[in-house]
Amino acid sequence: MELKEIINFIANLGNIILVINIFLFFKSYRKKTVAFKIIAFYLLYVLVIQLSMSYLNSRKIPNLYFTHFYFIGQIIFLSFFFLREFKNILLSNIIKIYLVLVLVSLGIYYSFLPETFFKHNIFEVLITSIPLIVYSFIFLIRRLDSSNKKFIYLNSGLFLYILCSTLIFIAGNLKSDIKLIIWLFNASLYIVYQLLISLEWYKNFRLKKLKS
Amino acid sequence: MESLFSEENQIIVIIITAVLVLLLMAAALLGFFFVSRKKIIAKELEKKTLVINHQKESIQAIIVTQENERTRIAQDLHDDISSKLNVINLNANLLIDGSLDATETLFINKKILEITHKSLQSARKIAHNLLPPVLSKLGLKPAIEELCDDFNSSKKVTISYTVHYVKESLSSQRELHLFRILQELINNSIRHGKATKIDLNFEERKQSFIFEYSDNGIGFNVEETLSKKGLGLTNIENRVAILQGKMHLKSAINKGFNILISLENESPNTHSNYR
Repeated sequence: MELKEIINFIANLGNIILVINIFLFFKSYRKKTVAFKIIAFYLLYVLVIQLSMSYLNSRKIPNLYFTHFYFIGQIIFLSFFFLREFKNILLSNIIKIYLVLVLVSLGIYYSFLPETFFKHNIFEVLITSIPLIVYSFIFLIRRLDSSNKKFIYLNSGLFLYILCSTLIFIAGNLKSDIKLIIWLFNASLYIVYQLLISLEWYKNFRLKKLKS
Repeated sequence: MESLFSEENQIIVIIITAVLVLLLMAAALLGFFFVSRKKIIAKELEKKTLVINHQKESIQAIIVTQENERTRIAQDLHDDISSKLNVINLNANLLIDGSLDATETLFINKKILEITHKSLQSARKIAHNLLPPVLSKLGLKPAIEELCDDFNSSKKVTISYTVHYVKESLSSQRELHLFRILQELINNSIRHGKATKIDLNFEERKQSFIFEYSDNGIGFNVEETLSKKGLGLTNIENRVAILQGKMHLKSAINKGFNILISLENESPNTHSNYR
């Protein structure tokens, strides 16, 4: 059980950094762009999910269905974020149409197969994560020749984390002891992601003192 | 050990490897992104600095020209007009004193008239130099002809010119720029080039105007001069840029000087007026 403790420790560390990030983002919340506010609420949403899942876990209540809220909430928040950041009409339309398609198809899926709601759903992981990787990649390419530095660190973290975690979550149904190593990976990557979000705030959004 | 190699565990090992490879690739991609971004932005910055420097040089040239022109006008006013007005003032005071007899009064009156006439002429000359009235009244062709004839009559230099230009094909603004370029060129040829012969050819073609000018002066090394542009040349360059034309310089030491300026024909509704 030693590995499990390490994973718990790392996961808790990630959550602590998440709490710090939420504090930082809401501290400089006023007079910031809508995209910034969307990220602030996205972080808060993720924290709420994490806390509810740990609470249910500690009470030995099944909490697996919370992953649906995590993935669906994540694509909604981040789609709105990318909609704000992409000025390209074609891209914005693709994001809007895709978001509607995902929500409708998942709605149909769960209304026809309600029993799957309490299971891990690979289909859901795929359709909610892969577009985010693509958006994040497009975002980075569009920032390549721009002097606008806003959100490039956050996007680097997002790209790194979602790319690797998608694969990890797909393997989520496997039952084995060494599966824990994968969760160790996930927790560590999550820390990297959160640290890059902190870096984002530090580099681009902290209140800079005027140089005299 | 047996359990470690069960089918499920094998899949997990594969997944761990895949995650590691993905992580590595993503990290490499991000590294590449940040390095490229830095380079691209440094290049853009360099480009912008170049443009700004060029603009600064142009502005400096404009300011220096303006100051020179002011000095020249101040000198002209002081030498030609103020001194004459002073004499008139003195003479008028003499008249007020009233201690003069009739012949003296008449003499002074005549003198005042004469000097007034001269100052009027000077004033006209100064105004003419600032903006030749022939250019605004009769157009570019007569203005060029008058300018060349003026220099020809000074016997310092012979200018042979052919001008094929239909009146008002260019806006008055552009005519003025072309005229100023010609003035600057002739001044340069005489002052720096010590030229004795100048050829000028200005013609209108279907889509463009060709302005060719050459002299038999001492010439200069084009590359060297362009790198440390003199004021005159910068002025010409700026005006050509305003005209959205192209210019081509050709010169070598003891081989004279040649410049070719070509202008696109503009649409008639962009005419503006300086008059």
